[in-house]
Amino acid sequence: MSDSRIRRWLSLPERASRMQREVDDELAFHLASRVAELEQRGWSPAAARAEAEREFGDLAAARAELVAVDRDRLVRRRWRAWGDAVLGDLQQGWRVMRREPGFTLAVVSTLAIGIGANATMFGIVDRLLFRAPPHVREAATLRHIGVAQVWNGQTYVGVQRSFPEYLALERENRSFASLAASWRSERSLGRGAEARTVPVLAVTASYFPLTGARPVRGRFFAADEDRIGRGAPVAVLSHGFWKGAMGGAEGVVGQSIEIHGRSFTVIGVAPPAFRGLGSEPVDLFVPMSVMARSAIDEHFESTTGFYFASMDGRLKPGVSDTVAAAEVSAIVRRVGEENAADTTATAVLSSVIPGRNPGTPREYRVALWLQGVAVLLLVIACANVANLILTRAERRRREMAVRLALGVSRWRLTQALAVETLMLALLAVGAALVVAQWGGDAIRTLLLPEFAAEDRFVDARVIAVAIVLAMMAAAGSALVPALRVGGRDLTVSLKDGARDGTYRRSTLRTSLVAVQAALSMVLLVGTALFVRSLQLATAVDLGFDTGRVAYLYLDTSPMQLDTEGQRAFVARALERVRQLPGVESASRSSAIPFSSNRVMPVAIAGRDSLRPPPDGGPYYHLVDPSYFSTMGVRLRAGRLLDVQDVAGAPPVAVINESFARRYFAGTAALGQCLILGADGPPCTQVVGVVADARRATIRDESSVQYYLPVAQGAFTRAQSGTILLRAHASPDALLVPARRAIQSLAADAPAAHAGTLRTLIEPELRPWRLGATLFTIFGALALLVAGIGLFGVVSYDTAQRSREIGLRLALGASGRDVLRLVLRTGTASAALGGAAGLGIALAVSGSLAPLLFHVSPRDPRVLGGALAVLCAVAAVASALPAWRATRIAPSEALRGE
Amino acid sequence: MAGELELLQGTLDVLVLRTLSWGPRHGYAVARWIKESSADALEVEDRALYVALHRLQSRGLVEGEWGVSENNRKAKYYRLTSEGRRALRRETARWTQYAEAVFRVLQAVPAEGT
Repeated sequence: MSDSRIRRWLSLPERASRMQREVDDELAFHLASRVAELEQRGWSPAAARAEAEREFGDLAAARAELVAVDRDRLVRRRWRAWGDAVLGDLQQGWRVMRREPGFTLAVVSTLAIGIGANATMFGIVDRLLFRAPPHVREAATLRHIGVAQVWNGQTYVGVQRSFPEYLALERENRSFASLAASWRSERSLGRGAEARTVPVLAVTASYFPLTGARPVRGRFFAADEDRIGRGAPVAVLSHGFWKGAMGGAEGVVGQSIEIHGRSFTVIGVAPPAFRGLGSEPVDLFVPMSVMARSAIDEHFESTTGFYFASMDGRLKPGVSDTVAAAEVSAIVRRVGEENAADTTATAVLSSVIPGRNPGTPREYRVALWLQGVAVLLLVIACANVANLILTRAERRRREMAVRLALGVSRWRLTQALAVETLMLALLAVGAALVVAQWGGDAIRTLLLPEFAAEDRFVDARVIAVAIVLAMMAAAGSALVPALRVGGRDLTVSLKDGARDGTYRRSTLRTSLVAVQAALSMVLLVGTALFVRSLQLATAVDLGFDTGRVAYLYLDTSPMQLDTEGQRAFVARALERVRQLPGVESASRSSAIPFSSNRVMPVAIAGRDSLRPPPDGGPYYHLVDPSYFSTMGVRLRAGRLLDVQDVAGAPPVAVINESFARRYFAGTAALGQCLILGADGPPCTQVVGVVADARRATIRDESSVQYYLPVAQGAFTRAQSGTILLRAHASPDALLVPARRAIQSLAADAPAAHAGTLRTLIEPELRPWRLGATLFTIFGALALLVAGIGLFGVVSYDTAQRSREIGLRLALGASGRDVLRLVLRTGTASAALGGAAGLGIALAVSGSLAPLLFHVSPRDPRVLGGALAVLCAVAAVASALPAWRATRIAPSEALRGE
Repeated sequence: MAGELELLQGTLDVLVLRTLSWGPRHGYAVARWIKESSADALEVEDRALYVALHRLQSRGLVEGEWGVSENNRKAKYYRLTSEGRRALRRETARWTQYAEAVFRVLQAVPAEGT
């Protein structure tokens, strides 16, 4: 748009004054003519003037009215002209799209891939990081309250605190308008063989009002239903649970359900997708006073050592995080002092919107990277589309030249091209949203399972982002060709046919290919790093078998057994599952693998005190002799526990290699005496050393651990409620029969948790699985798109050079020479881009390092492999046009058009 | 008064279109023609005439163009568009029908016995 045009568009006063001038001129002419006529009839000039003005009427009003009418006309005319132009462009665009369906399909599908990838990742990242949980009102002032403490030189942030702490905060704080505590746990629903576990959120009565959610049926908890010591057994169902397990029955309010061995009356249903302030799914909500009392302690409100309550609060207006945190710290320390506990605690407030907090989990950071990857993919797609449009522009060169020659302005022509591209982009948005809906749901189910999903993936925000991206993509990919159209010399295009014999390599097109190659290279390096990380993380020797082991855990507390009764029940359960078909061996254990954190004081006879290990411990396990064969823990020295190690026999222990290395380095560990616990036996003899096994994460490699026989462990406070099973084949098939078998041992048995070790480890692998899967998909798509782009460019180049190639062949060049010539042009730009991409990858990948597993971001094998793949794809993409070039018949090519 | 003015507005449009049907004229010429051809019976305020001209222009029935008048002055000439010509035919027919109907009523004499 020219400068004066812009001024005319924007500056109303200038326009208005011109219209006023015209109106003034017109009226002046009228009055002058009338005066002249009257003077001719003999009127004096003054009288004639007065008469003319009288006849005319109110001159000032007329002037204003006429200007208003004219301005209105001008504005309407301008809009109509613009509308006509756009309509014309749309019609033209539609005709072009129909005339070239192949081109349309190529552009739409390429853009759909790019936009779809971005919309999908945006939907994921937005939900993971930037959104408040569903139905939570005014999330900006809500805070999770955590407490940081220093243990063994490391800072841990505890998000679960004891109930006395919560009560003290509730009583004394002045920073929060309201506070609530919650406790998420898996609880048994029903009893006996049919019982199953469901996620239950125990909440204080203040919890629902804090979130601002409203029930869709019934009501939420009243204050007197959550009174400590006198809570009412009432429950609120999640919307998903109501629709699923209860079949969406209208009369659900008033029904009773059995949770954790107790009957609860349903009083309400939460809105769809509501899960409280956390990110994990919840099926049932019950009053804290009821659940904590039956599952923790009769007097949980004064139990200081049990950390279970997640605390959330809404800041009062004007209270800063710093002020609130200082107040919470002071209260928590004071409570700590009273109970002779830690007094260095510092409150950590965090937003309920994860993206606003500094430290985000690894999955979330991987997702952010993947969003970046999706953007790269879109850029690659745009480069391809730009290339396609350029190629088409060459085909339409004469059409454009004719239109320019006919006086269509370059601006109009560019606008027409932009509208065409925009239409293609909007078609692509439609396809992209289908991709996103499908892909987003797939990612949520397969890669982020505990990320609750009851809502529609493609929502207004995703659609808005897709449209904005499409606009940007359209602008980006139309810009380059438009600049070319704008700058082209008319006469050259009109003078001759498309092929005028002079061949000019298109540097623009070649550089687009190089950019694609560079970005693909970056993606390939990322893909390789994540795939390698996942490989290594999957192949980590955990010190035990994961493939064939399942676990069962039964919380006997709803059965109200005494300690002896519990022991007997677990022993019966062990006998029962051992006899199930498909079970190779079974063992009791004090903890589910990957969640064992039991410690007691350890001393070694003849030594003062032990240096505590860096990551805590020593951790102990209470196990049966069959534990080692069941789990696949390998013996390194001495012997394993055996059936003779019973109560009354000499107490024995098996330690792991890290234990031996740390405390018995250089001496023989076997035969040493351990002094365990405050009131344990005076000497527990080390009889064996086993290989290290991971304790809680796959990263802790040398955790100091030891194993004691269940039969001798009466002095520990640990219970052996977990049963481990080793299957002959896959353990998955054992889960249901084993669960039913032990649940049917007693009529009031609650549901047992059952799972395989693989599912326990899966969350650990998730960041790498997420990264590897999506990097691979995006990387493959990028390669595909870039490969097709290269193919297109090389084909086009070859076609343009067919006369030259024909000439070479006529002059005696062999097919091999031609093949080499074309392959070289094709791969050269890719290799150039690849090298540049390698540089970018090296510069960027350093910041990726914390997300990787045992792979250096500069691993030469990774980088070399990526470059090799890129070159291979480039060679494949150039091979077909190269082969076609060798088939050019010299006579045909030289004859020309 | 308001009713009269409204009637006048619609009427004035037809008169202006009719005046322009013999060829382009400037505003002053239109005013004079209406005055003279009605033998000064229709007293049209010049202001109303110009508003009518600009409105017709806005509706696309006439087009304005700057030219030079008989006495060599810059003047704005109005010309009927083809749409304006169609509108004139339509409005003339309607006016004639309307006038005839009114006229018939005014001429009618009640029959005996009613």
